[in-house]
Amino acid sequence: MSPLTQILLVGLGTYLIRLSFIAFGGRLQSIPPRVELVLSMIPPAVLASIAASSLLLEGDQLRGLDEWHIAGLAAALVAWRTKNVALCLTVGMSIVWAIGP
Amino acid sequence: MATGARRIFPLTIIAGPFGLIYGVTAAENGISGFDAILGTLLIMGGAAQIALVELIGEEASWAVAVSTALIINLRFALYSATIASSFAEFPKRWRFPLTHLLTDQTTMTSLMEFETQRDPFYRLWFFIGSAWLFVSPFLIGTTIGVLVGGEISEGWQLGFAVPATFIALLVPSIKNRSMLVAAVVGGAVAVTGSFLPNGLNIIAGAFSGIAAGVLAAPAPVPEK
Repeated sequence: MSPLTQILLVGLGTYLIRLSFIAFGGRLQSIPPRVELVLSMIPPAVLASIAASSLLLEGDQLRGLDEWHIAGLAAALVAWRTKNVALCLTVGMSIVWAIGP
Repeated sequence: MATGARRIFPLTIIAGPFGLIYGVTAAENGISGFDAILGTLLIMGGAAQIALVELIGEEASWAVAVSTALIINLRFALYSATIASSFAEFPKRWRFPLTHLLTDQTTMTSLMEFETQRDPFYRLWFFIGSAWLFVSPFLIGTTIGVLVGGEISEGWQLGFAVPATFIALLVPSIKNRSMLVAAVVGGAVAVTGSFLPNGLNIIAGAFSGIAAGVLAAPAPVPEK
């Protein structure tokens, strides 16, 4: 299947995911608590999977300990303490630039 | 609109580099510039786009590539649910096109603002402002990435912008103990599952994280 077809499929599927609850207009006043619970777990689970594998893996191997680990840890601490995304990214990138090769 | 634009600005700083990384990754994986830019316009989710072009480059089966990208984007269902009541007050001609612009950054910024601002007209333009300021750098970044392709210097360490962005999004998404369980289990399974072919470790991490979080959550209080 050509890359373009795959992009079209993901684009269509993603739009339908985004539309899912909006399609009901405000009519769906309350989401069942069980559904809400499952939905609420999606961002931490998915974001952590991507964050961890992009930070800790290189291909299918663990990265050797380097400036990425330190910068990642610092970025997480800043994000947690300040909730300031820009600061978190600036600190992370600065550390990588400062102590990187 | 100007407030929305100002508020999302810290997040758009990363939309540019994120688009750039996607563009470069797409070029390195043999995706044409036209297809790559269309990917940004049609998918509007950098993480899924990066995963998709990497899987296409690795010649993974289309079913795995497409479903991994869709699972990464499944989080938009939550944004759809949380923002639906605000969107219901928007005119229909805006509602359906704006649905496409429901990104992590725009949604989170808007939801924070909507907590204090109730006027639908204000909310509409706030959303449009923040969406516009996210989409433009993302698209410009993609285009530059596609053009420079593999020529970008390793010394720039742009690759680190990917985990940095996800850390910045992940940390505030953890609001209670069971969500922390979801994140820890998800991350641990994704890393230990690195031997899985085709990037299936992300899918495995996502589903185990969700399951662990749901199991760890206190039993829901029965409705009265």
